[in-house]
Amino acid sequence: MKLKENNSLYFVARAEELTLSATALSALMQAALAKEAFFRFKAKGFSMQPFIKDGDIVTVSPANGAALGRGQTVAFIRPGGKLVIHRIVACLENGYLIKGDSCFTNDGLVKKEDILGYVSEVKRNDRAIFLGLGRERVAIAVLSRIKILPCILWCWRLIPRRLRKKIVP
Amino acid sequence: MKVKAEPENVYKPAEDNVVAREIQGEFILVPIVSGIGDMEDEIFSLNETGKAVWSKLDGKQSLKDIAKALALDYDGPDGVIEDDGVGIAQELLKRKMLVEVKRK
Repeated sequence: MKLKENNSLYFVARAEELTLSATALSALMQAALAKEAFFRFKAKGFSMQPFIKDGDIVTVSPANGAALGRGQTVAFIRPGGKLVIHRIVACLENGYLIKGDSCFTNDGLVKKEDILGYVSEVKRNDRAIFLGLGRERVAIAVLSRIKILPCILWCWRLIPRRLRKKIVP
Repeated sequence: MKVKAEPENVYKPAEDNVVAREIQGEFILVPIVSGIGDMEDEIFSLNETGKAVWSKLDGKQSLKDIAKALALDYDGPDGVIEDDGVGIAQELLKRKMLVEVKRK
Protein backbone atom coordinates (compact mmCIF):
# COMPACT_ATOMS: atom_id res chain seq x y z
CA MET A 1 0.00 0.00 0.00
CA LYS A 2 1.30 3.39 -0.90
CA LEU A 3 1.00 6.33 1.41
CA LYS A 4 -0.26 9.58 -0.09
CA GLU A 5 -1.34 8.28 -3.43
CA ASN A 6 -1.73 11.47 -5.39
CA ASN A 7 0.18 14.23 -3.69
CA SER A 8 -3.17 15.27 -2.34
CA LEU A 9 -4.95 16.33 0.77
CA TYR A 10 -5.10 14.51 4.03
CA PHE A 11 -8.79 15.25 4.19
CA VAL A 12 -10.83 13.80 1.39
CA ALA A 13 -14.05 15.61 2.05
CA ARG A 14 -15.59 18.44 3.97
CA ALA A 15 -19.04 19.05 5.34
CA GLU A 16 -20.62 20.11 2.06
CA GLU A 17 -19.20 17.10 0.24
CA LEU A 18 -20.01 14.47 2.84
CA THR A 19 -23.26 12.58 2.80
CA LEU A 20 -23.62 10.88 6.13
CA SER A 21 -26.07 8.14 6.89
CA ALA A 22 -28.47 8.51 9.80
CA THR A 23 -26.40 5.94 11.70
CA ALA A 24 -23.22 7.95 11.17
CA LEU A 25 -24.95 11.13 12.22
CA SER A 26 -26.29 9.55 15.39
CA ALA A 27 -22.86 8.13 16.27
CA LEU A 28 -21.26 11.55 15.85
CA MET A 29 -24.02 13.21 17.85
CA GLN A 30 -23.61 10.70 20.66
CA ALA A 31 -19.86 11.31 20.70
CA ALA A 32 -20.20 15.10 20.72
CA LEU A 33 -22.89 15.14 23.42
CA ALA A 34 -20.79 12.76 25.52
CA LYS A 35 -18.16 15.51 25.53
CA GLU A 36 -20.88 17.86 26.77
CA ALA A 37 -20.70 19.77 23.50
CA PHE A 38 -23.69 21.02 21.55
CA PHE A 39 -24.37 19.33 18.22
CA ARG A 40 -25.67 21.22 15.18
CA PHE A 41 -26.92 19.56 12.02
CA LYS A 42 -29.41 19.83 9.19
CA ALA A 43 -32.75 18.20 9.96
CA LYS A 44 -34.19 15.83 7.42
CA GLY A 45 -37.81 14.77 7.24
CA PHE A 46 -41.28 16.10 7.78
CA SER A 47 -42.45 14.54 11.04
CA MET A 48 -41.95 17.72 13.08
CA GLN A 49 -43.53 20.14 10.64
CA PRO A 50 -44.28 22.98 10.94
CA PHE A 51 -42.05 23.58 13.97
CA ILE A 52 -39.00 21.90 12.47
CA LYS A 53 -38.94 21.74 8.70
CA ASP A 54 -36.81 19.68 6.35
CA GLY A 55 -33.50 21.52 5.99
CA ASP A 56 -33.72 23.51 9.24
CA ILE A 57 -30.52 23.72 11.24
CA VAL A 58 -31.11 22.15 14.62
CA THR A 59 -28.90 22.46 17.70
CA VAL A 60 -29.09 19.68 20.24
CA SER A 61 -27.84 20.29 23.78
CA PRO A 62 -26.65 17.50 26.05
CA ALA A 63 -29.35 16.29 28.44
CA ASN A 64 -26.82 15.38 31.15
CA GLY A 65 -29.43 13.34 32.95
CA ALA A 66 -31.56 16.44 33.57
CA ALA A 67 -35.28 15.96 33.92
CA LEU A 68 -36.98 16.87 30.69
CA GLY A 69 -40.49 18.18 30.52
CA ARG A 70 -43.57 17.70 28.43
CA GLY A 71 -43.29 19.55 25.15
CA GLN A 72 -39.53 19.46 24.89
CA THR A 73 -38.16 18.26 21.59
CA VAL A 74 -35.54 15.59 22.13
CA ALA A 75 -33.07 13.47 20.19
CA PHE A 76 -33.01 9.73 20.67
CA ILE A 77 -31.96 6.67 18.74
CA ARG A 78 -34.47 4.12 17.57
CA PRO A 79 -33.55 0.45 17.74
CA GLY A 80 -31.66 -0.02 14.48
CA GLY A 81 -29.63 3.13 14.97
CA LYS A 82 -31.83 5.78 13.39
CA LEU A 83 -31.62 9.20 14.95
CA VAL A 84 -35.00 10.75 15.69
CA ILE A 85 -35.91 14.29 16.77
CA HIS A 86 -39.43 14.26 18.21
CA ARG A 87 -41.41 15.84 21.04
CA ILE A 88 -42.13 14.53 24.53
CA VAL A 89 -45.93 14.37 24.76
CA ALA A 90 -46.09 12.76 28.20
CA CYS A 91 -43.71 12.11 31.07
CA LEU A 92 -44.42 8.72 32.58
CA GLU A 93 -42.91 6.87 35.51
CA ASN A 94 -40.72 4.64 33.38
CA GLY A 95 -39.85 7.02 30.57
CA TYR A 96 -41.20 9.50 28.06
CA LEU A 97 -43.93 9.10 25.50
CA ILE A 98 -42.56 10.68 22.36
CA LYS A 99 -44.22 11.67 19.10
CA GLY A 100 -43.58 13.63 15.93
CA ASP A 101 -45.82 16.73 15.74
CA SER A 102 -47.31 15.80 12.39
CA CYS A 103 -47.44 12.05 13.03
CA PHE A 104 -50.60 10.20 13.95
CA THR A 105 -48.79 7.49 15.90
CA ASN A 106 -46.29 7.90 18.70
CA ASP A 107 -42.81 6.40 19.01
CA GLY A 108 -43.72 4.52 22.15
CA LEU A 109 -42.04 4.77 25.49
CA VAL A 110 -38.43 5.97 25.45
CA LYS A 111 -36.34 5.51 28.58
CA LYS A 112 -34.71 8.55 30.12
CA GLU A 113 -31.23 7.13 29.56
CA ASP A 114 -31.93 6.71 25.85
CA ILE A 115 -32.45 10.43 25.35
CA LEU A 116 -29.30 11.96 23.87
CA GLY A 117 -30.22 15.59 24.26
CA TYR A 118 -32.84 18.23 23.68
CA VAL A 119 -33.32 20.73 20.89
CA SER A 120 -32.23 24.16 22.08
CA GLU A 121 -32.27 26.06 18.82
CA VAL A 122 -33.84 25.84 15.39
CA LYS A 123 -32.66 28.02 12.53
CA ARG A 124 -34.37 28.50 9.19
CA ASN A 125 -32.71 30.60 6.49
CA ASP A 126 -30.30 31.90 9.14
CA ARG A 127 -33.13 33.06 11.38
CA ALA A 128 -33.85 31.55 14.78
CA ILE A 129 -37.29 29.94 15.04
CA PHE A 130 -38.71 30.13 18.52
CA LEU A 131 -42.18 28.73 17.93
CA GLY A 132 -42.36 25.27 19.45
CA LEU A 133 -39.46 25.72 21.88
CA GLY A 134 -41.04 28.14 24.37
CA ARG A 135 -43.91 27.64 26.83
CA GLU A 136 -46.34 26.97 23.98
CA ARG A 137 -44.59 23.63 23.61
CA VAL A 138 -46.78 22.18 26.38
CA ALA A 139 -49.96 23.05 24.46
CA ILE A 140 -48.40 21.63 21.28
CA ALA A 141 -47.62 18.41 23.14
CA VAL A 142 -51.19 18.11 24.42
CA LEU A 143 -52.70 18.75 20.97
CA SER A 144 -50.23 16.35 19.43
CA ARG A 145 -50.94 13.58 21.92
CA ILE A 146 -54.69 13.71 21.40
CA LYS A 147 -54.04 13.79 17.65
CA ILE A 148 -55.70 17.14 17.09
CA LEU A 149 -52.48 18.73 15.87
CA PRO A 150 -51.86 16.25 13.04
CA CYS A 151 -55.51 16.69 12.00
CA ILE A 152 -55.11 20.49 11.92
CA LEU A 153 -51.90 20.11 9.91
CA TRP A 154 -53.58 17.67 7.54
CA CYS A 155 -56.44 20.13 6.94
CA TRP A 156 -53.93 22.97 6.57
CA ARG A 157 -52.24 21.11 3.73
CA LEU A 158 -55.57 20.94 1.88
CA ILE A 159 -55.55 24.73 1.56
CA PRO A 160 -53.82 25.81 -1.67
CA ARG A 161 -50.22 26.83 -1.07
CA ARG A 162 -50.80 30.36 -2.41
CA LEU A 163 -53.60 30.93 0.09
CA ARG A 164 -51.54 29.41 2.91
CA LYS A 165 -48.77 31.89 2.15
CA LYS A 166 -51.29 34.72 2.45
CA ILE A 167 -52.43 33.49 5.86
CA VAL A 168 -48.92 32.74 7.14
CA PRO A 169 -46.36 34.65 5.05
CA MET B 1 -0.78 33.09 16.14
CA LYS B 2 0.71 30.85 13.50
CA VAL B 3 1.35 27.29 14.60
CA LYS B 4 3.95 25.13 12.97
CA ALA B 5 4.28 21.39 13.30
CA GLU B 6 7.84 20.16 13.82
CA PRO B 7 9.04 16.58 13.16
CA GLU B 8 10.74 16.39 16.56
CA ASN B 9 7.61 17.40 18.44
CA VAL B 10 5.07 15.08 20.05
CA TYR B 11 1.37 15.64 19.45
CA LYS B 12 -1.90 14.15 20.57
CA PRO B 13 -5.55 14.71 19.67
CA ALA B 14 -7.13 17.62 21.54
CA GLU B 15 -9.81 15.46 23.16
CA ASP B 16 -12.08 18.37 24.06
CA ASN B 17 -11.86 19.94 20.63
CA VAL B 18 -12.61 17.06 18.31
CA VAL B 19 -14.89 14.10 17.82
CA ALA B 20 -13.21 11.34 15.84
CA ARG B 21 -15.11 8.25 14.74
CA GLU B 22 -14.63 5.55 12.16
CA ILE B 23 -18.09 4.91 10.79
CA GLN B 24 -18.95 2.62 7.92
CA GLY B 25 -15.41 2.72 6.58
CA GLU B 26 -15.04 6.48 6.82
CA PHE B 27 -12.90 8.17 9.41
CA ILE B 28 -14.64 11.37 10.35
CA LEU B 29 -13.38 14.32 12.38
CA VAL B 30 -15.80 16.88 13.73
CA PRO B 31 -14.07 19.89 15.31
CA ILE B 32 -15.74 21.23 18.43
CA VAL B 33 -15.56 24.99 18.17
CA SER B 34 -16.87 27.09 21.06
CA GLY B 35 -18.50 23.99 22.51
CA ILE B 36 -20.39 23.13 19.31
CA GLY B 37 -19.86 20.21 16.99
CA ASP B 38 -21.26 21.79 13.86
CA MET B 39 -22.06 19.45 10.99
CA GLU B 40 -22.85 22.45 8.81
CA ASP B 41 -19.42 23.92 9.31
CA GLU B 42 -16.14 22.09 8.73
CA ILE B 43 -16.10 18.34 9.18
CA PHE B 44 -13.49 16.12 7.67
CA SER B 45 -13.09 12.64 6.39
CA LEU B 46 -9.50 11.44 6.57
CA ASN B 47 -7.91 9.64 3.65
CA GLU B 48 -5.50 6.72 4.10
CA THR B 49 -2.57 9.00 4.88
CA GLY B 50 -4.53 11.00 7.40
CA LYS B 51 -5.95 7.90 9.05
CA ALA B 52 -2.53 6.24 9.36
CA VAL B 53 -0.98 9.32 10.95
CA TRP B 54 -3.98 10.06 13.22
CA SER B 55 -3.93 6.52 14.62
CA LYS B 56 -0.35 7.00 15.77
CA LEU B 57 -0.71 10.44 17.30
CA ASP B 58 -0.76 9.15 20.86
CA GLY B 59 1.17 11.86 22.68
CA LYS B 60 4.19 9.56 23.07
CA GLN B 61 5.87 9.41 19.69
CA SER B 62 7.33 12.33 17.77
CA LEU B 63 6.28 12.86 14.16
CA LYS B 64 9.72 11.53 13.17
CA ASP B 65 9.12 8.31 15.13
CA ILE B 66 5.64 7.99 13.62
CA ALA B 67 7.12 8.36 10.12
CA LYS B 68 9.64 5.61 10.89
CA ALA B 69 6.88 3.31 12.16
CA LEU B 70 4.73 4.01 9.10
CA ALA B 71 7.66 3.40 6.76
CA LEU B 72 7.59 -0.24 7.92
CA ASP B 73 3.98 -0.66 6.82
CA TYR B 74 3.85 1.54 3.76
CA ASP B 75 5.93 2.01 0.63
CA GLY B 76 7.77 5.26 0.43
CA PRO B 77 10.96 6.84 1.68
CA ASP B 78 11.14 8.12 5.27
CA GLY B 79 11.45 11.72 4.11
CA VAL B 80 8.21 11.69 2.17
CA ILE B 81 6.30 9.98 4.96
CA GLU B 82 7.73 12.43 7.47
CA ASP B 83 6.61 15.34 5.29
CA ASP B 84 3.13 13.83 5.17
CA GLY B 85 3.10 13.45 8.95
CA VAL B 86 4.15 17.07 9.42
CA GLY B 87 1.60 18.13 6.81
CA ILE B 88 -1.34 16.54 8.53
CA ALA B 89 -0.17 17.64 11.98
CA GLN B 90 0.01 21.17 10.61
CA GLU B 91 -3.54 20.99 9.26
CA LEU B 92 -4.88 19.59 12.51
CA LEU B 93 -2.97 22.07 14.66
CA LYS B 94 -4.35 24.91 12.59
CA ARG B 95 -7.85 23.71 13.42
CA LYS B 96 -7.00 23.09 17.08
CA MET B 97 -7.76 19.38 16.78
CA LEU B 98 -4.23 18.53 17.93
CA VAL B 99 -2.13 19.67 20.86
CA GLU B 100 1.58 19.53 21.40
CA VAL B 101 2.78 17.39 24.29
CA LYS B 102 5.75 18.92 26.03
CA ARG B 103 8.45 16.37 26.73
CA LYS B 104 9.81 16.24 30.27
